[in-house]
Amino acid sequence: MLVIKRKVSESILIGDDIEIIISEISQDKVKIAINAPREIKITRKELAETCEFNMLASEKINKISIAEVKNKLNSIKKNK
Amino acid sequence: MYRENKIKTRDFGEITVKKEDIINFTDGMYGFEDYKRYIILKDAPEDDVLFLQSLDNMELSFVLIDPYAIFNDYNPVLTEEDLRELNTTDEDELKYLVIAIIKEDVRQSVVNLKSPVAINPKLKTAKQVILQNSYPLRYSIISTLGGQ
Repeated sequence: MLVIKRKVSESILIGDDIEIIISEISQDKVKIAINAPREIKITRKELAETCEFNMLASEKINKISIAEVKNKLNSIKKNK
Repeated sequence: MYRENKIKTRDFGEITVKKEDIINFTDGMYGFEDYKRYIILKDAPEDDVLFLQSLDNMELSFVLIDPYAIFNDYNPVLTEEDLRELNTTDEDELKYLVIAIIKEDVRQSVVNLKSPVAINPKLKTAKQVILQNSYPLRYSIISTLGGQ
């Protein structure tokens, strides 16, 4: 993996037509501006991962396993 | 519009839907944006495991878990935009449920703590939100279940 240090308002280029500009840095956040052609899809990674998670979660449910989880959680609650 | 309706679902057979139980997801669930109306099903009142059944696609359902049953310190922080869409300014006014992937070997089951379903119980609106918190997207429930 390539790692580059950048300051506010500096940018990097990916290929010829994608520019990533560091627009603001605070304590635990960085604001990024992206210039890219329309056909390039830009997604926050956790959003793509959530889609993927939902796909797996929507598969036909396994009633036996769910009952097992449910009973375990109920018994934990009783013992609290 | 109907007041009460019977539908036939893939996972729960025939269920009766009351109009007041319908929850509207303005954006749908991520990856399933076309389906906006859902109902929450529960086998018993004390259960922490619930089901989210789509009313627009009978084949679509999710397993939901009350996050507080597995993660005591769950303290969701939403973006201002998400709060606005849910018509509130206070995270505590919303109810949260997390999506689970329950595996046949239940010790491999995971929940998504990063992107819960946030529900406004008064307005019956909901949104799957991506939290500002750095919670894991795949949180194993094995330690909760007491497995090795």
